[in-house]
Amino acid sequence: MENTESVVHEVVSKVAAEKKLGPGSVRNSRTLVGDIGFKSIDLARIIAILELRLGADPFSELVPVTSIRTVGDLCNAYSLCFSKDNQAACDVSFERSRTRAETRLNAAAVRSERRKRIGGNHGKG
Amino acid sequence: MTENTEGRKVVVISGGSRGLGRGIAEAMLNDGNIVATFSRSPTPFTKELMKEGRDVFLWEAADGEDSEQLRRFAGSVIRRHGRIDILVNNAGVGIDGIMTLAREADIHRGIALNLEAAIHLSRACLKSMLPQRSGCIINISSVNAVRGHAGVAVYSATKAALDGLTRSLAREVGSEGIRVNSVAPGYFESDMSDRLSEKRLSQIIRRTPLGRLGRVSDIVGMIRFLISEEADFVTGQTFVVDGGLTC
Repeated sequence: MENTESVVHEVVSKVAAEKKLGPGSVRNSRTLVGDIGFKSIDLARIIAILELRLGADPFSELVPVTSIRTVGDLCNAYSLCFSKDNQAACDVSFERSRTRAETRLNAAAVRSERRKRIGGNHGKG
Repeated sequence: MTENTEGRKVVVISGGSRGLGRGIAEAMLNDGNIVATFSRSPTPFTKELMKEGRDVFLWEAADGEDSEQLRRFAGSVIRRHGRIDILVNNAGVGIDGIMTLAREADIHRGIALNLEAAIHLSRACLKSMLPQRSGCIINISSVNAVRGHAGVAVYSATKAALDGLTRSLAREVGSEGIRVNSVAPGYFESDMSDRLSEKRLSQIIRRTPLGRLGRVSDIVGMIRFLISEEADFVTGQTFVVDGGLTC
């Protein structure tokens, strides 16, 4: 498994270079928007790339994305993902996703039954 | 291990198992693309293609009302083909009748399938398009988003919302080379128009400058243009394909 911090730094550097953003090395203390100059869509892209690279999404359940200010915050969010207790919340793998999907499908079936009981039929389509 | 796309585009289509979605899927396959679609259960069309064992067609069971299943489906496509290039948000359901008499369950289902599903699927597919810095999203809207008609208030609301999504999302992702457009079909030969009376159909045709109902091929033609390089400078727009009905 690649070192999380080095992957985060690599991706942040790459996206900053593509956007021709200001000089300076990527350090954990640097703020993503103020110091480096990223826009929201750049952060969305960085997070999408990191999800593909690391197979983890800390922002779906574990960490509010609005709390991310610095490169260090980003590193910490992903490191938190890989701690033993949090892996399930961050895992974007198929098996975990399928389990969650099955749970939600069951919940959806319960909701559907409830709708039928209160007089709902399926709409035309 | 991802399959080699060999330069083909990977196209995700919601509701691609029948009707307009099936027509779009067939056209994309004929154009040499890879197509992935889902529905709650397979149809003869999807079963036939899956039976052929073609590596250019993927169907999975998924409920459009479940965001987790939509996310899982998009993840399956990315794992299998390594990318998603085009998303066509076509799945939708009609919600007919005077709004004050509509069942609440039908309203909720309509909003879930016509609007929320498009949002969730777009989010999931953008996770591939953003790293690629390329992609194209087509939202299938309706003339009912452009002009009001009695009896389709909630349906119109969902389709008008889809056009709003198109405009704002186009602004959000344009800098990453991703284009978002809506196609708003008028009345065309379909399961939905089959339910209209002869009198109503005649009235529609009389009011249509081009004097006929639309065909699936008319809508597919617009989609083909919008996903092509010829539309490289087109984003955030709604294209009405209705023979002039709303002009």
